[in-house]
Amino acid sequence: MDSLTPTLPSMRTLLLSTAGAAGVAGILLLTAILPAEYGIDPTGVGKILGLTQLAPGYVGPEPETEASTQSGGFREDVTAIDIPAGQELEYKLRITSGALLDYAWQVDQGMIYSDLHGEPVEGAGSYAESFLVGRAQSTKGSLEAPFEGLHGWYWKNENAHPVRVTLRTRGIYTVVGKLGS
Amino acid sequence: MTQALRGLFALALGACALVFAQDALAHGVDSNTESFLMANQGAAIVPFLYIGAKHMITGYDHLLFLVGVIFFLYRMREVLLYVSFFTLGHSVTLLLGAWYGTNVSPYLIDAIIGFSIVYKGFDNLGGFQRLLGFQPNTKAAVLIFGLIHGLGLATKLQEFTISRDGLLANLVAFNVGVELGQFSALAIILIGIGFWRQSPSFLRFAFGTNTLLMTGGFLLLGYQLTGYLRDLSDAWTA
Repeated sequence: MDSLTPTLPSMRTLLLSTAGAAGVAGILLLTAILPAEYGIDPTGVGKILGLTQLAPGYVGPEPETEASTQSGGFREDVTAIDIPAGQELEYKLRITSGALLDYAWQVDQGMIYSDLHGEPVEGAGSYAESFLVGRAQSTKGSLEAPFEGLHGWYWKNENAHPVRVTLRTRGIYTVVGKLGS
Repeated sequence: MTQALRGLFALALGACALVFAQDALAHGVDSNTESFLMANQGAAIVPFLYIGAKHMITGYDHLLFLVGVIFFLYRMREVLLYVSFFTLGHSVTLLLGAWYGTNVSPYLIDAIIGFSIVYKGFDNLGGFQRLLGFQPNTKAAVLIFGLIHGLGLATKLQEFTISRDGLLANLVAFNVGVELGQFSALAIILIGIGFWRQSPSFLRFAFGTNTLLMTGGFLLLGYQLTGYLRDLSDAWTA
């Protein structure tokens, strides 16, 4: 160093401060950074602090159909779908052209970005039509499917906390469920 | 005079806070920038200039290293000399790396960048003089780590398929943007450190500050190395 520097530290001070720096970094890595960034949680502290759900690729508990009644093709479902903070997912039903779907969904905490849309079976993946887009805490309505295809919701949880969407559907359809995004 | 300087300092701190608040966690290239980079065809000088500057100003790994480098440089001439070595280093690898297409894991590069911060912090503590009995060439170290930082910039830019059409102009624009960003960040850091040096607390806390710098470097090192190892183990199991 060309300029004036403080006197050299003793070997003991030097080693202590280096070990301290590495130690503090190690503790922060094991308890916070690795759980939050990679979902690697060797100590279990990340899970207790709720940090593991920040990790990209974290998939919440599988949506479970809580109640389902069927009679002659007509069915009614109540489904709970968990979306981690900052994550997005799609939930789809397969509906034939002209069939009517009644739906209502509600978020347990805060608002969520929602896009109700359909993709026709033919030319799948190349075209999607949005029916209702916006941010809300709850929505209900009915949809008459304009074509046969996968109809459902794209949800993005823009909150800093995980949310649970409770979805009620009624009509003639088959459940495709959660799609990875 | 001091009043005016104090005001300037507060202003600089405010600007600094603003910049960091906007993009504190999103080091790298954000999704808007990403979609621009993917869609871009041909030369787009100003956008690439902007991306380069933004990358540097929000790139805390580069900034921590710079803080380490200038920490004990009291004369402006020396600051310019060392920063020139750093700039020379990272420009060479940025241009060559992005032009020819490097294929090094970004995690590995970023881990070495983390290590460079640990190295500089340890160096500032007088660690090498105490441990080895001599001072390794500081200019060479800054140049070599500059080369690594440039490789990091090149891999960041390459994560997006950049069209070869207008590539050279865009690369140079990105590089100039990086220097502009570095210059602005450096100005703020220098003002802050300049003020702090006038107070006796500077030397009292210099040891602690450089230990903290090392902690930050160790954090980045562990974070990036884990990412690298995870990719390796994924490749093995796949």
